[in-house]
Amino acid sequence: MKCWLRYIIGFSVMLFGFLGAWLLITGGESSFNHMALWDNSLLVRLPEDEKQAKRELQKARQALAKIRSSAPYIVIDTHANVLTLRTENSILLKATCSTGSGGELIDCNTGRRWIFNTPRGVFWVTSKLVEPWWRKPDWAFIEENERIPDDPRERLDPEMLGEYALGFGDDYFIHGTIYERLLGVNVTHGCVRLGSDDLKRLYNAVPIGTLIYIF
Amino acid sequence: MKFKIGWVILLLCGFLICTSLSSCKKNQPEQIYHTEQSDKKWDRQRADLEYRWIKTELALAKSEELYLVVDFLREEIQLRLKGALLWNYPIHIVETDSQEVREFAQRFQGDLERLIRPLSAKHLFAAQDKMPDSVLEIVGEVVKVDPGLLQREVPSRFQLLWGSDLTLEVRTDVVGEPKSPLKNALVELRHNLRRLFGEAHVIVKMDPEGAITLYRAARPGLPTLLYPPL
Repeated sequence: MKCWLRYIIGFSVMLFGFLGAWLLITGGESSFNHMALWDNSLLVRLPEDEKQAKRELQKARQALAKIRSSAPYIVIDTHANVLTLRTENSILLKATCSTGSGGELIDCNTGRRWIFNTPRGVFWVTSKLVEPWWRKPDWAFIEENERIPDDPRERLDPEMLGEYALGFGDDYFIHGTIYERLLGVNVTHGCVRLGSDDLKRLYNAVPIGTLIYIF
Repeated sequence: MKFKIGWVILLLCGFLICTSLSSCKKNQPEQIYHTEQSDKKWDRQRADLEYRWIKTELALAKSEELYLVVDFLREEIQLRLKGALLWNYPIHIVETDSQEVREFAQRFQGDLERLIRPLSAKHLFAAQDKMPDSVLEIVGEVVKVDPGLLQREVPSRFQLLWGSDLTLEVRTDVVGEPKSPLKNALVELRHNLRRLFGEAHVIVKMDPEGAITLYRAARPGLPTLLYPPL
């Protein structure tokens, strides 16, 4: 083999060796940190003047206190299926719930598609209902391979939602269930199910307008 | 005799009142002195840092995104959305001394004294299924959902990584099955190599429920705010 060819092969082996080691060490992660581009904390500084600086700091503290809600709020953890009614410093109620399954349903006849996720983000309690009746949507019939009724009265189900319901978002509810054994499992079509005792306590504890954080 | 006892009691009461009054007088100027001193003592560096924390958190709270707070001051890990505390868990550090925590905080902040970083990766070493598959088969049939969607893994060990030199490892008491022995071995090897170049590795202990939430909520890119130890 020619001498220069040996050098090229040797150099290539070395290069790939270094590259492999670098990939192994860094895991291929770039040291470039995109967040640094909008990292506010790198630019923010208090004014030089002490009096002005104290005033600014006080203003900032007040702004932070403002976003820390003092009123109780509802938190729904869709990962662990846990609902809590809490404040910044204490938990007032902790209950096992059931949230959306993430399942998909496609109507073969019309091509309509539903994904059963519990929405995430910030919402608030928009309604409080006692003895709610469920008005079954189309997917409830398609899922059961049943004909979608023309008469709206045939859609009503007085049992399914339990004794109370708290509305939020786009027609979602925190409600009871006849399947209490399935609490803790992601089985719902997007609503949040609670056991009857916890639901009663929650219903009595929160007014309309209470914030709901879902993650 | 009665007269004498009465005088003694009266004198004792007077003595007690005088001592308590004098101690009050002694305390009052001291308290004022402390307040005055704390007012006068303007720690510029500390105030700057607090201001940056607050401004950073206010910026994070403006977005619709969930963010993670690693708070070594209160020894807590928190998940927040719009400034509201959604989930918190005490940091029970294991197999690590306070030096390692300081190292973690220093590396996190770097030369620029950065307070936020995005989570770059996570790795699940081992986990246990929350429910037996046979049970989920039955449940899936009842609720018309694919049983695979219903299953939740309870992590027994996972790592959260920020860049190539910061690792927060979470361990639970759950005995889990290794997810991929080959990948686990590679990750271990990578860590051992990184340690040669310097790496902060903090190990914390959690209960299974907390670990499920943190593992599933932590996705690459998750903004992480750090409150370093004093």
